[in-house]
Amino acid sequence: MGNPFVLKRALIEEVVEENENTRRFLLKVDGFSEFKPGQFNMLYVYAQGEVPISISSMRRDLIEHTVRLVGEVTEDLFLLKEGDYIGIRGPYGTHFPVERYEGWDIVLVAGGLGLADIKPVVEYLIERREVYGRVFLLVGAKNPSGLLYKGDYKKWKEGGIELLLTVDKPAEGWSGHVGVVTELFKFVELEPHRTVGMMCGPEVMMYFTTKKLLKLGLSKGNIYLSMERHMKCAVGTCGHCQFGYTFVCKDGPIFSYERIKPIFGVKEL
Amino acid sequence: MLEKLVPKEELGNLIDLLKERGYTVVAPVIKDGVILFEEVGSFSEVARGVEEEQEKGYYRVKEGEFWFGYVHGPNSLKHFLHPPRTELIRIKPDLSQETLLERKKYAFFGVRGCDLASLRILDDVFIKKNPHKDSHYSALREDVFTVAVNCTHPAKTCFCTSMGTGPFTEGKSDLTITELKEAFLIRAFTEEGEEILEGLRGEVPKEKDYEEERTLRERAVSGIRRRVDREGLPRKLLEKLESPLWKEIAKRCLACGSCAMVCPTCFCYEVVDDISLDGSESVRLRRWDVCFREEFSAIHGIPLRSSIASRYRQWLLHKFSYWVGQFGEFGCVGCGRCITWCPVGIDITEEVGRLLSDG
Repeated sequence: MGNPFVLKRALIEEVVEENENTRRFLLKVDGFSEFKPGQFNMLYVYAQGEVPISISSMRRDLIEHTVRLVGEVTEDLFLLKEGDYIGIRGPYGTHFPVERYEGWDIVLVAGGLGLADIKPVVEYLIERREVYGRVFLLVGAKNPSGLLYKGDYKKWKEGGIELLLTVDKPAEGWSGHVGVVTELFKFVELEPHRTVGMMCGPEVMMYFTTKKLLKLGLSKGNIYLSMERHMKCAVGTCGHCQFGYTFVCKDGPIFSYERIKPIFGVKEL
Repeated sequence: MLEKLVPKEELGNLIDLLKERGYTVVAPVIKDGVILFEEVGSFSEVARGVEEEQEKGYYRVKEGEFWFGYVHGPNSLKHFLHPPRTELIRIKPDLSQETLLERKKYAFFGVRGCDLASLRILDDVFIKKNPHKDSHYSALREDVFTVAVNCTHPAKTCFCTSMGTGPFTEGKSDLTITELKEAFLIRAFTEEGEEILEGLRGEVPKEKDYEEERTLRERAVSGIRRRVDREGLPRKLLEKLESPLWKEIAKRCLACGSCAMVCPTCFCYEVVDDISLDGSESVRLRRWDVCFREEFSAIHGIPLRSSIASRYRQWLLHKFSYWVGQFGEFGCVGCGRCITWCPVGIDITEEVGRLLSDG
C-alpha cells in the first residue's frame, strides 16, 4: 500500500502578480493526473508545511494555482521564485459537475479569491461553448484591485460568457457597479427549470447567493457551492476539515446545496 | 468454532504461545494506580484480581475476587495502531522522500467488547471507507490478533448495551475468554485462534459451565444502567444544532480535550514538520489533535469554532450524528471513558438525554 503523503516535485515555471497579496504560481509537474474544475492540490514548502489550494486553470501544460498571502506557509511560498521547487500532491476532492448540465443555462457566482475556483469552470465551458445555453458570470470583490484575472475578461466575453462585475468599495477610475454580488442578479434573466448555479466565495456571500437562487426558482439539487475548511491531510483522516456529516477534502469541496442544507449557514459549525 | 474449559493457572501459557508466534503482546497492567494497556513480557505483568470503581470524574482500582473483574483504564488500542505521534515521511531540501513504515505484529490481550468495536470503527476511517488507504495505520493493523475478555463486572460509566458493543463480545475476535468462578471458558473464532487454543490444556465445557456463563452475562447486562436512546438519534440531534443547552454545557466544559484523548475512536490529528537543526531534513509527523482546541478549526488563522459551546457540539454531534453520515455507524462504542476522565464530570449520556427531552 502506497504512502498517501508522498509528494511530486513541482518546478515554479512562472509567477504572476495578481494584486498586492495574490499571486498565480504556474507549476511544471511531470505525470500529473487528470483533474476537473473545482478540485484542489496540496502544495508543500520545504520544512514549512502544506496548504490546500484549488487549481485555478484547466490548462494542462502547467498546473496553475492562485495563492493569497494569509499564513506561514503562503508567506514562505511567496519568497520562492521562478526556478525553485515545491512539493505537490493531488488532485483531491469533488468537482463542479458541469458535464451533467449540457444544454442548460449556467450562472457562475464568485466572490474575491473564489474566482480562482470558478475560472476553470469558465475555461471548461468556453472549450465546449456550443453544448451549453447562456452562461453568466457574476463576480464581486471588495475593491477594483481585488478583481482577479482582469487580463482574461476580454477573452471570456469573446468566448460567450456574460460577465458582470461589482465591487463593495469603488476606487478612482471605477465606473462599474457598486454593491454586493447578489445585486447583479437584476441584470440576469434566468429560466430556473433549466439553470444550474455554481459559486465560490466567502460563506456569507454563498449563503445570500443560495437564498437568491432559490428565490429565483432554482432547485436545491441544481445549486453547487465550494466550501472552505482547513484541510491538513486531504485524505480524510486528520478531521480538521469536518463540516457536519462531511469531510470537505473527500466529500467536498464542491457540494450541492441539497446535500448540506441542514448544516449550511449554522454559526460556528 | 472450538471451545474449551481451561483451568485458571493455564492461562499464562497463552501469552507464551503468542510470543512464540512472534507477537508483541499488549495487555492491561496496573501502572500509576490505573489499568493501562502496555506491552508485556509475561503473564505475571498482567493486571489480575482487581476491580475498578468508575464514576463521573472518578477512578479507583481496588482488590477483587475475579481475575478480570475490571474493564479498562484511560488508554485504548488506538494508542498502538494510531499512536499519538507517527512519522509520515522524511523529506530532503531537494524534495526527495523516504517512507519508514513501522510494522508491528500486535496481539491484544484482554480486549473488551467496546474496544473491539473501536477497531472496526478505526478500520473504516483509515482503510475500509476511505478512498485514500492509510499505509501507516495498515502496517500496524494488518497482523493484529485479539484475545477478548467478556465483561462480568461492568463499570458504572459503561453504556455498551446502548451502543450494541458489549458487555459480551462473541465472534468478532480471534479468541474470547469468559471468566467463570473456577476456570475460563475460551472460544476460538478464527483458524489461528483455534491453533493457539489447541495448545492450551483444557476439557470440553459442560452444561453447568454454560449456565454459569449465562448467569454472569445476565448480571453484567443488568448492571449497566446508563443509556443512550439510539433510535433516530443522528437526525434528532441535527435538529438541536441551535439548542440553548450547548451554552449551558459550555459553562462546565473546560475544553481540555481529555474526553477526546481517552476516546478509543477519536482519530483527529495535525500534521507538522519537524526540521533537523541544520535544516538538512524535515520529518513530517502526525500528532493527535482535539476539536476542543480553538485553533483546531482555524481557517487562515481565524478560528471557526471560537465558543466552547460550538466545540462541545462538534464533539458530541460527531460521535452520535455526523459519524453515521460519514461512515454509516456511530462513532461511540459506549465505553464511558469520557465520563470517567472528564475533570468536571460531564456525562455524555446525560447530555444526550437532556438534548432529546428538552433541548
